[in-house]
Amino acid sequence: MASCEIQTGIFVLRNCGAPSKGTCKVCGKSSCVKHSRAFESTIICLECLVEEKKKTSSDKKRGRNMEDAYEEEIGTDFLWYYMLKDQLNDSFSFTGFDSRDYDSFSLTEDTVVWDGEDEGGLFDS
Amino acid sequence: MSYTEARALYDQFDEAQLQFLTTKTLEGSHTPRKWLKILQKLAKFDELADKSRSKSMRKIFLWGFLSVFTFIFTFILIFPILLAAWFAYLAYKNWKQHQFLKGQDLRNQFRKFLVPLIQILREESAEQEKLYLKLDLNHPLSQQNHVDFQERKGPGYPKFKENYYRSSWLNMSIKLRDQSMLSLALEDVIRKRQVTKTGSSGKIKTKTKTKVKHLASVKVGFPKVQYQPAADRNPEVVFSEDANLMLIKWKQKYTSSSIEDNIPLSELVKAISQTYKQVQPLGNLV
Repeated sequence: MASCEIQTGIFVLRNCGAPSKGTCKVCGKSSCVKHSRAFESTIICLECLVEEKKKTSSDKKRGRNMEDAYEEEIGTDFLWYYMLKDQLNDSFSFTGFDSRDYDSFSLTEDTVVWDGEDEGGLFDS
Repeated sequence: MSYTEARALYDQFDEAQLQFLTTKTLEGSHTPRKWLKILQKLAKFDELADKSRSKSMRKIFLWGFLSVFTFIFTFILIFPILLAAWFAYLAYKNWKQHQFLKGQDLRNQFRKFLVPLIQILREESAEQEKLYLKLDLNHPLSQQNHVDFQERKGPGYPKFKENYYRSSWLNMSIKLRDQSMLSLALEDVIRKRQVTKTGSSGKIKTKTKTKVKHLASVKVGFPKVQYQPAADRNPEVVFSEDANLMLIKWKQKYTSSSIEDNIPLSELVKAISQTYKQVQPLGNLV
């Protein structure tokens, strides 16, 4: 079974990897239930849904839309998250690091030990 | 309807959730998934309670008015006294519900800022990683947060009285997927200024103005085996290191005129992103 190809994470990006439930009709990526939405009688991924929403709302309203989307989906996932990612990308030119940036990474638990030092005065400067 | 739904949710809460609604404080370490399981129900309850409370004052006024209006007619007829009593009962019932929900109310930062922030951190961390959370949602203008009082007196007007409060309401830390250690601290510094002055007619007026500085402090410890300082990093960013970690601190400030406001979530995410902009992974960068 194909796995979900929709990217998640803001600072460190990765593919979702959950079992796919279908293919986005716009970009053709496999996507899971969490990252799919019904839109105009078809199924598209959240990344493409954000692009579609952008076409129908002005820049001024986009921040507000993220808040609205969050309020509507308070117990569920996850359109507001992709709106936030998109906003960050547009206004701040930040896209996070992905696996290509981390070729030398070994994501093991023992790579580094956080010693908890400086805990008391973290924010003193 | 909102009250019935809110009450149904409230009745499902466990002891820890009920205690949080009473004390408005929370401290512990759980995975983000577990935190969300605990907190999302509370957020939903808070949303329903806010909706219900926004309507209940109107209802109390309406039933109260009808009760008084009908009572007047009881001097003429017997029947309306029962109707007046019924309206009075409805007003009282709505008032009781309103008071109950008011007692459980959580500051909006809880559901509009903290819960989505935990959702973001859930995506950034490994499944079993624990998130340390210390939360205080008590009223920021409580006496325990009072830090200073200043008074400017002169021979005439205007006179100023200023009270300062400092509310450190959120601390959290978690190890992210890339083994970086993220710590966040949010604090509101509040100035409540009372100005007394005289108008042109000689009448003395007092006005109260509130100014709030919402401060977010972000600290990320990047493992040196995986990151190096970025070539184009901002020299003004606080940067220190020990044998294993590069420590980067970033502060974000947001000013408002209401204690109900908060630093926008997107601004906090930008602050964390700022620290990531100061490093580059030790890999084959594209």
